[in-house]
Amino acid sequence: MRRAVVACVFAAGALAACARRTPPYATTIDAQRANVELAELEQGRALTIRKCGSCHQPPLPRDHTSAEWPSKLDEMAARANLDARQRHVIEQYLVVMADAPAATAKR
Amino acid sequence: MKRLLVSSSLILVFSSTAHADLRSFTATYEYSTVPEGKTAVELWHTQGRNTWDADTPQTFEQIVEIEHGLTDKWDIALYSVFEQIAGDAMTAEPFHFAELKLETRYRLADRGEWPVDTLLYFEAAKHFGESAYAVEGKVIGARDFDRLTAAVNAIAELKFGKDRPETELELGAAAGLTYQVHPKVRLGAEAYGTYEEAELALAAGPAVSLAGSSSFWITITAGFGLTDEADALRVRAIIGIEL
Repeated sequence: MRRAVVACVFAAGALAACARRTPPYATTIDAQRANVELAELEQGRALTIRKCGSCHQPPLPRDHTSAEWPSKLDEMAARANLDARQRHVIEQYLVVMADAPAATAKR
Repeated sequence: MKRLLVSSSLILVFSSTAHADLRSFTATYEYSTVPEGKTAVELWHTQGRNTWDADTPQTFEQIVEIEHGLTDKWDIALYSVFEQIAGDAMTAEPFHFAELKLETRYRLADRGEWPVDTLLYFEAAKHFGESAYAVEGKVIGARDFDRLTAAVNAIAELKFGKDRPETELELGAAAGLTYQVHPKVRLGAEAYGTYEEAELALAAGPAVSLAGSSSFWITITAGFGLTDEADALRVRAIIGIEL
């Protein structure tokens, strides 16, 4: 019994230490590269987590190319009940960060 | 059969890879709520048998659930439960409306914000045609590990009413682990059980989820009884349709 408890605690700790899929933070470099406000990219990240995360794990920008994201948003915007402004901010974040160099797109 | 397998594979490979809002389990709740302003319908179909004996009572339950997202983190649902029991004259019951349930769920934070995503669940039920009620609370913890998702539910249910011989408290738990092998397919397993009057009913089995399209999914589980108090077998399928 004691061994089982120790094994469970160890397994729980190991799982807790595993990395999660978390959308990366945008940086000033990303904002300058895309010529947008950093605050808008930060808002896009927050909305991605809140709106997409109500049903499933939030997507990572690199799950699709910047060219693919608009059509993905076409499908998901209705299902997540996004208004035009929310859709724009989320799409902007995903498109900009999909093209981010690996160094700035830390998860 | 071969054609069916090939066409199913092609549909999965070439259809949209957008994440589907499919459930991974049928007894264990995960960390999701219906998006604000959206409505979904779930059809629950459950068949079970008490033992492996040929003449054992066999149960059937059909649930129609309509759920609606009040906010991004809070939803509400109404269940209509229908039941039937096939067995001898003592146990058999014809198909009938059994109870009505009202459920609400609230996610305490955005997904990934806490070390363990935590959701609170509350349900109230009334048996049709009698003074028999039940209230149930659940604390749902879940965490995503990339393609792997783990969920644990702690459950407490209080049954009361004039038509019940006594007020009963039933404790329970459910846990599941699932892996996303494809954006439209998840494979996993779940275990669930209840503890009431010193009797433990425990069952476990596999869970398969398929998203047929962006607004349609199906989840199927088979629960095999691990203790005498649990049903020998319970198979449940939930079909989800987003409106």
